[in-house]
Amino acid sequence: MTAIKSIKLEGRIAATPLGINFLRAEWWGDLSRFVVIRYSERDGIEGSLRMDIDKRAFIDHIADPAKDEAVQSQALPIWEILAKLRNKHDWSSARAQGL
Amino acid sequence: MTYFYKGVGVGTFLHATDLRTTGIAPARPTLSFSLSAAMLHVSSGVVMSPCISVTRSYAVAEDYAKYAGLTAPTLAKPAHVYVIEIPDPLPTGIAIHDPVEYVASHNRNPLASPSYHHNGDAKFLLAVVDPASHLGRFTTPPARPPGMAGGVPSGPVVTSELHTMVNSLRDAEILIVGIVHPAWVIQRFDIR
Repeated sequence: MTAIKSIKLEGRIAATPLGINFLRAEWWGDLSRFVVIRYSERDGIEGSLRMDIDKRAFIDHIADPAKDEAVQSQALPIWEILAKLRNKHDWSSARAQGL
Repeated sequence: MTYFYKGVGVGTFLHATDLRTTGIAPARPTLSFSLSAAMLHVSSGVVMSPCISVTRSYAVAEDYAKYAGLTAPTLAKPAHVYVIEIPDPLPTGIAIHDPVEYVASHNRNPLASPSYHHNGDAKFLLAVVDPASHLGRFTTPPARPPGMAGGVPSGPVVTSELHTMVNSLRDAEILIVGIVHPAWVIQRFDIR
């Protein structure tokens, strides 16, 4: 069973004006450059977008262009949070495992 | 014989079908291929492009398949790495580009600016390859040559050209423009 790690984004990244609320970033490979950003829309429907950490960009898009533009504009703020917290997360996890 | 590899993560668009049966089409086959299309595809991860990314490295493809899905692969729902063999000479209607050579060939004049050169220090390239581990290098202003005054210090200049070349080298990435015929997708490995 693959262990899923996550960092909460809710409360750290404001919802977009069109009501997309970023919930959390998830990943299952400590050394991987990919994370999945989970979000919810106003109607409660949840979705996911992959982010390439090295490219500092989402590699998925939302079909609605206006929503997509709002989401893509949040890639860098989300990346900055991940760059700061994910390394610490992985380091403390490695220490806990005695690595 | 040259083999190319394509990693497909669980839950992604291409995961729904067996590429040995369907072949592979780019997300936007009607768009024309250009320098900007290549750079957007490679450096910014824009998938709505006329290109299909493949790699010469099985390891890169496996990493992509395993970790770039919408969910983690499982025994019941594995990710996949496909092996692709393109006929040589190339059939009509298909082109293959090495992004490093393609970008470099459009930047042959070292007197022109901007090009793929940066003005950071000798380790700045590490930040382009792995920005999360080298956060500070994007914000540390490059040293100013003696006698050159003026201007507000800012981080080093890094162009899309540089990002494209570095990312392509890292991933051993090749761009296919056109449709990959099902017969060219010769093998599939399950990744769990």
